[in-house]
Amino acid sequence: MGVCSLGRFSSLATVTAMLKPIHAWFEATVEDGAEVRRLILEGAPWRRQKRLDIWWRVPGVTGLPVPPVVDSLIAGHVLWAARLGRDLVVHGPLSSGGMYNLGQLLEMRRRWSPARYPRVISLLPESIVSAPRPEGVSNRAVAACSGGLDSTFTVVRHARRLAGDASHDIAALVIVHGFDVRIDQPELFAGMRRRTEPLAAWLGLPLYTVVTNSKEMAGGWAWPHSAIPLTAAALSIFSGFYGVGLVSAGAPHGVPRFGVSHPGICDALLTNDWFTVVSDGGGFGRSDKVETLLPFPQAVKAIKTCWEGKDPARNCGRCQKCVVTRLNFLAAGMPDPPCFDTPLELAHVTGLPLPSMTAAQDLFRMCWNELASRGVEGPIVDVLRRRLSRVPPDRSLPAWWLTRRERRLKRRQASREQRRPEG
Amino acid sequence: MDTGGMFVLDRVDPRQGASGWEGHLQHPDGGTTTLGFQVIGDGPQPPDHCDGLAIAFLPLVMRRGGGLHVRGSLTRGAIRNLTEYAEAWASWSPGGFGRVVITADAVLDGLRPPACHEAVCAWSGSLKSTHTLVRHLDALAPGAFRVRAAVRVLGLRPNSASLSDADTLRPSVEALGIEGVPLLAVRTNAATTGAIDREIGPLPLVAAALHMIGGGCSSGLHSRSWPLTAQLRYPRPGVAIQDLLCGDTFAVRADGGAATPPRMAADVGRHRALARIVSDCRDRERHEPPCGRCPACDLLALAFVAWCGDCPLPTLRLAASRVARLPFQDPVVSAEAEGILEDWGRGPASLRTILRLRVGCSRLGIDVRDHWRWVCAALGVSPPWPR
Repeated sequence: MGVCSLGRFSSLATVTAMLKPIHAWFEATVEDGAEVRRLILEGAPWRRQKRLDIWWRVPGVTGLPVPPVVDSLIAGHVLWAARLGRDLVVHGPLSSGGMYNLGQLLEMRRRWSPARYPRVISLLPESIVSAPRPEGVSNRAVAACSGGLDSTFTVVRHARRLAGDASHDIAALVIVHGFDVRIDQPELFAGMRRRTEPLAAWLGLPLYTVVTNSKEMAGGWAWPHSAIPLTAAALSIFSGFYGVGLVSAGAPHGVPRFGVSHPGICDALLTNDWFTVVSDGGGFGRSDKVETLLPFPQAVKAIKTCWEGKDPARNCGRCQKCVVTRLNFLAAGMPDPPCFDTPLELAHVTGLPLPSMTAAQDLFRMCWNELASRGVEGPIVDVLRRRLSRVPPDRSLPAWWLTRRERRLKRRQASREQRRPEG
Repeated sequence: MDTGGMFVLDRVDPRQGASGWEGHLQHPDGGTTTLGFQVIGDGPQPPDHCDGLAIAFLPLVMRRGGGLHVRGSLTRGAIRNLTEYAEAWASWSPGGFGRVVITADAVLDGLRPPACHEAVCAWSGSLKSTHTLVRHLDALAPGAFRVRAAVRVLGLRPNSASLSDADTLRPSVEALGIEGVPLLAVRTNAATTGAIDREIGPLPLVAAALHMIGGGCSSGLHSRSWPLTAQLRYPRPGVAIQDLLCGDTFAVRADGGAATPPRMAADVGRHRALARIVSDCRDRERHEPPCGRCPACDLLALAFVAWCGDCPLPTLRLAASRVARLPFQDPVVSAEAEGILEDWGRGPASLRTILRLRVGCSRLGIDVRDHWRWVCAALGVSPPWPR
């Protein structure tokens, strides 16, 4: 431990490159009537650029206080630096609590995915400060609202105070342009936002847009691990007003999705002394969430879970995420929810690509269990049972061959992306 | 599951001359559970609010579900966190736990933890908890806390009242004294009142003790008991849940879990006094010499031997036959053994070879089992899940 085996890395040049740290600077400006935060990263080329200019812009909003620490903005790109194995020199203050949490996050990710994160990198801030929020001020929350099932559940649950005294006091919703929709597709994003606006209006909350290139500029390289860190970075733009960033848990507690996605245990480590990140809803399965939302047709209609379809304002209804969500609705007793344009068909289930248990785990853990526990029967459930019964184990020959092919394709694609000049 | 009842928690003054907490939980059926935490010797006064006390009683309420009303004050953060904690366990095991609606006479808003980066550290004497302690003492963790004191909780095993507290604590006090860390001890009657949940374990009780005794610190640290790598194959909700046993003024944080056993042995080994009293023994109390016969003792010895070829604990002697007989069907043993193999240092090659063979056989066994279940599921003999 502590000494890297060269065999794990592609070449001596890679190991040498790891010794060079990445430097990060922070800037806050107002440009064209919009609040802008910038993170400048130097020392690691990305798409042949030596200097990465990562920005977050809040159109139509000015006067947002600048936080005293830069933990949240740094957190979005820490995993990218960890994938490169480069230490991160931060030319700005980090909070002591944030340092500890980010250190824990890096240790955990390295332990779960050693092939992805070659070493536990060091964070080297200019200063470590104490940055407590003022005593006596109520901690209102700003919530991420992508329009998906999880985030819709979280915002409805807290805004409607369904959790009683445990509810967070949500003050605003944030939708991010630059994650599901690329920043050069404003018309597509406008459609996506239009779908969420009625929900925000019904809840009586302002819906802010944060436009950011943070995913496109290297942050997406650690996706999906970086999904919540980048979301928290976007929410932290409002941390001068709101002390809590509310994000929705992706999977219920206890499912072994570690190393694959973003468990709540990792999401909570994005908290620092100034800004608390709360991962909400980990105690509910997806069908539980649907059942909670059923009395609110405005919320159900606005749900948009699809990220593979061409139009980000609509659910394609055929991709794995859409089919899983439809089955969640089926488990909750609503076979044809209004958020999908067409009814669920057998072909949607038979068309799912399930090469191995890893690929099928979402279906098992967030769908099949809930259908089975509710005793749902019917032709669709029969087809799903047959499909899942035949999924080979991860370490079987067919699964090995299929996943190896898939990994190779992904690696080629990532390497092409790394070399591609901007634009 | 019965989910209609309301539990009521009263905080009562401890017995005369004692410092600590005591609470009565009135069950909906009229029964009462009394749980106490008593500081041995001098220690900080417990906080005015009841965050920690509510944590201690929560598993009892979760087993039945329903409501918990606290006659006293809770911070808003504690209500939120404990509600989610109950939800998480109820989601994991719907037949075993229920969701809990928590209310209090007074809900405290706007409180903050002290603006210091200091912590008290729960220390049972195990390798993991000792590693958590030394990695903060030596600033091996990024953003390491300044350790104000180590906290030992007594009374978590039914037979732990056999020795006097002074006898029990003397070796620990001496070893910690060399490191300049004071030991705070708390005695609880949890084991005799049935307050330790068989599935959740003693963590809520330890968290309650940390809340009680952590005055002036921002956090209380405890080591992660379940290895992170074991979680990948054998998920448990306890470790998957973020740090939810917290209030607004004090956070109880799980620490570590990423280091392999030999790495922990190396870090702990630099503190000779502490290394000599480390014990992971399952059969004996932590303050007694380890039995040297249980798998936990074998793994502890193996961690030290793997790193430096020698074990500082005189009662632990490792034989190759014991490594060959490690019970790999236990996920903790399996995960720890793999961690030891991954980080093998200057230990003897013969032991390493035996361990490698055992790990290889274990993986093969898992593959065979997975294929068997696959065939059974595909033939319709068994359901598609669990696989």
